[in-house]
Amino acid sequence: MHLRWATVVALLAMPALAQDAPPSVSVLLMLKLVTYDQALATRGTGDFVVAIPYEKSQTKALDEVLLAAKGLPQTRIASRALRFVSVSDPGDDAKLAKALDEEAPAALLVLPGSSRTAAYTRLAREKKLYTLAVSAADAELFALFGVTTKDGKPLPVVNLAAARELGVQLPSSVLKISKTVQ
Amino acid sequence: MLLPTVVLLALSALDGGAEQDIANLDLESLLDTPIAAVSRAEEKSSDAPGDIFVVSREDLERHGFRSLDEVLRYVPGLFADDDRLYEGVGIHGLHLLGDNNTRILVLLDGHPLNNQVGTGQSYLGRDLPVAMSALERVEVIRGPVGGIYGPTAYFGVVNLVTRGAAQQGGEVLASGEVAQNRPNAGELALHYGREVGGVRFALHGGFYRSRGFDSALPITDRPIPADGIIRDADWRQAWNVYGTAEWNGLWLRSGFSDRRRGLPTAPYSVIPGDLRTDVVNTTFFSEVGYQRQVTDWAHLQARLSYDDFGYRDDLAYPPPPPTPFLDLASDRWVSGEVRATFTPRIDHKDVLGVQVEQHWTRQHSFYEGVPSMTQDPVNGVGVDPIVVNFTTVNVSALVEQKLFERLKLQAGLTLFAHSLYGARLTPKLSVVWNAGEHDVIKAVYTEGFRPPTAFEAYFADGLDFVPNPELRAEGARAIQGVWEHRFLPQLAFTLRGHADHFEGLIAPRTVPAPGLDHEPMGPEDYRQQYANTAAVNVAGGEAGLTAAFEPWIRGWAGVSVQGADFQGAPTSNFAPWLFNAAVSTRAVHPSLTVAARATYVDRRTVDLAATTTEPATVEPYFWVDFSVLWEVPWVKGLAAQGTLVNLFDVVAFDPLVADHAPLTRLQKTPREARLTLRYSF
Repeated sequence: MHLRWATVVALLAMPALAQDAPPSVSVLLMLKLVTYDQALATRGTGDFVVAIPYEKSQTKALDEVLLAAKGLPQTRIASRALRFVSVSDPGDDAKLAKALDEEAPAALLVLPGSSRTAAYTRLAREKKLYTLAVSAADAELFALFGVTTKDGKPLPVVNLAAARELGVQLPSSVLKISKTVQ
Repeated sequence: MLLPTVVLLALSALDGGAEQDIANLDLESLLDTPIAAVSRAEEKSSDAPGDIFVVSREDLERHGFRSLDEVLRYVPGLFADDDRLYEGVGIHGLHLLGDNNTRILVLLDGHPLNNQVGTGQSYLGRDLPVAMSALERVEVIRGPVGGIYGPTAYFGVVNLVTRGAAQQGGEVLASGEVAQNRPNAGELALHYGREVGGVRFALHGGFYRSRGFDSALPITDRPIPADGIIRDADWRQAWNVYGTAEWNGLWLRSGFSDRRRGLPTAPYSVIPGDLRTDVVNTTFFSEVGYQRQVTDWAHLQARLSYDDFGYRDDLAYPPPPPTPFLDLASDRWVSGEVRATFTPRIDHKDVLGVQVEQHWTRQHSFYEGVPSMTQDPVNGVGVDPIVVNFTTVNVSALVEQKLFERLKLQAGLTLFAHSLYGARLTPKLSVVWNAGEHDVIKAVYTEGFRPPTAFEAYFADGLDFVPNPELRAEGARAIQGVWEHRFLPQLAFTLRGHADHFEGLIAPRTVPAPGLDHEPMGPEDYRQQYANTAAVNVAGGEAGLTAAFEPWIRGWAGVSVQGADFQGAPTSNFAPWLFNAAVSTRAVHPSLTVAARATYVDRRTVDLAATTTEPATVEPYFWVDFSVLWEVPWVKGLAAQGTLVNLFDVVAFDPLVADHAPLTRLQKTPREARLTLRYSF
């Protein structure tokens, strides 16, 4: 009994967890942010493929994101057909790059708890891919976009360093309503 | 009829995949409108399992609303009335006269404001402990939701969400009104929000003073001025302070309001126009709470609060004695609540909550220095203090399950126990079906339960009111359906239907004075007493449009119709037809917002208990307000707004409860011109 109470007290005393928006909200919002990139039209034609690399430990998170993606009523982005594909990460940069090349993605959707963020950052920079983070903390570290919550509402997170590296240009009206990270 | 159909079909065709492209979505709407009021957890309004309407801060500012009843009278399906004691609001055509707003729950940032003594309250007018300029949005739930909130949510819920510290910086608002060719009212409101060292705090304050309106009132049973005009007795004064502080899941909220006013209708047979007659309300609450996402699937929230409500009226009667008769009432209560939300899977949610309240109520009607009727049965006046203390416990469980991606089922069960009126189980069942890309269908079944207030069951003043300890709780069952079709991201059509069944509604009735040794001869031989009436069935529907084609037009419109079967219950003030609309445009100039709002309220019967030679009904009226907001281009943050309330100066009336006899109706306010200056920094 004492142990149970001790557990409750310990849990309550823990620092507050980051409040990520649910994937059904964050995925749509991040894709909406993509449409504000003034260079979007120059980044290819054809299907707009969002690649979701995942490791074995991330299958639950992958399922949640795919469920959210499947539930999106929108099927197009900037007049391009929108597709989500999951890509198993073999843990090797070259193999992952090859697997991604087969899908020709326009964006990488990074699942929470990834151990390969450095590789995704390099690949995104090389291939000029939008990096979208399900966990807002990842956006603060390396990804271009994330979504946190503030006062119960979604709040976009924009990583300005990543935007510069990827050549993404956003209007000030979007930056004004977002949390920007240098 | 053909033209609108063709237009709607054309809009549907034009849609042609526009909404399927993320580029065409409105970013603002993606970021906006989480709803906290229905399931007590924030969710999108289209997903919320209830009949809801939200007025955003954008609309509050564009229309320059200055009080909550002014906002609510333009919400589809609602109407507002005012007996110059308290502002009232009707939902589904119903507002029981003189119910002191004890059937609509008003929440301020989730904190329930309504007291349980039940005398003299509204929270819809200037007795609200927060100014309109502090609000981020107003959420309105129409229909009983007692299964979630407990007894006061009998007709509906109004949840006020303040800006808190979301808006860093401050705002100063000053407003003045002119009516009847003279200055009438002034208001000052302040807001300041900031984050310091991880602590987010916000402070709001407001002051309002009005000299009110002079009215010609057909009071026939007491002397009134020769020209029949009651002057200067409609004054109002109110001030409020509300503060919040948040840090790492911990919050502290505290609010206070003091509202006092004269009583121009001379209720309770007081001397008409005597400026000693007034009523004072004070409301104070302080709440400390804590919320924590304990694990990725469990959220815990707890709060503890203390509320103090005070009421006082001074009623001037002809001497002796020379001093006014006093009615005092108070409710002090301590409330504790713990709520846990579990989301073990993405498609499943459980909410468990327990809320306990201990109330200490006191009512006392007397002349200062004069013995009560108990102390001196022959010459005494008034009564000894009436003390009623009670405990309530509300245990609720809510289970939500998503099926086939598009279907959300919600089932809830609430056990409400009242130490004086027993316990009652109230269920809630709802289905939300995202039927396609453009359609949402909701069906909701709820039950409600409302015990008598201390005022209704126990109040006695030795003059007009006699108690009725035999009163029993009211019951409600309601079925609601909502179909929302979105033609475009900016244009939605909504169709709603409801069927409500109310049992034993508590209403005042006129009874012979106890102990009378002869047949009642006149008004002095009758008393007022609250009693359970027969069942009331109400059924109705509503069609509404919401549009946001910026900068061209933004707003809403709704037509509602309802019928009622009153089986012995009072029929007064029931409104069969309602029209409500509020639109604004910025198309004239980017710095100008032109806004208009309108409401039509159908013919209503007056309170039959007070029937005199006056008409038995009040006529329908169509009411329009108009305003222009100018954001001054060369002074950043400064805006000026001019508003004409009751633009066409229509002569409209509201029915009055028998307290105001021999008056059975009261003219609504004449045209007012209002100028507001707002400076944000």
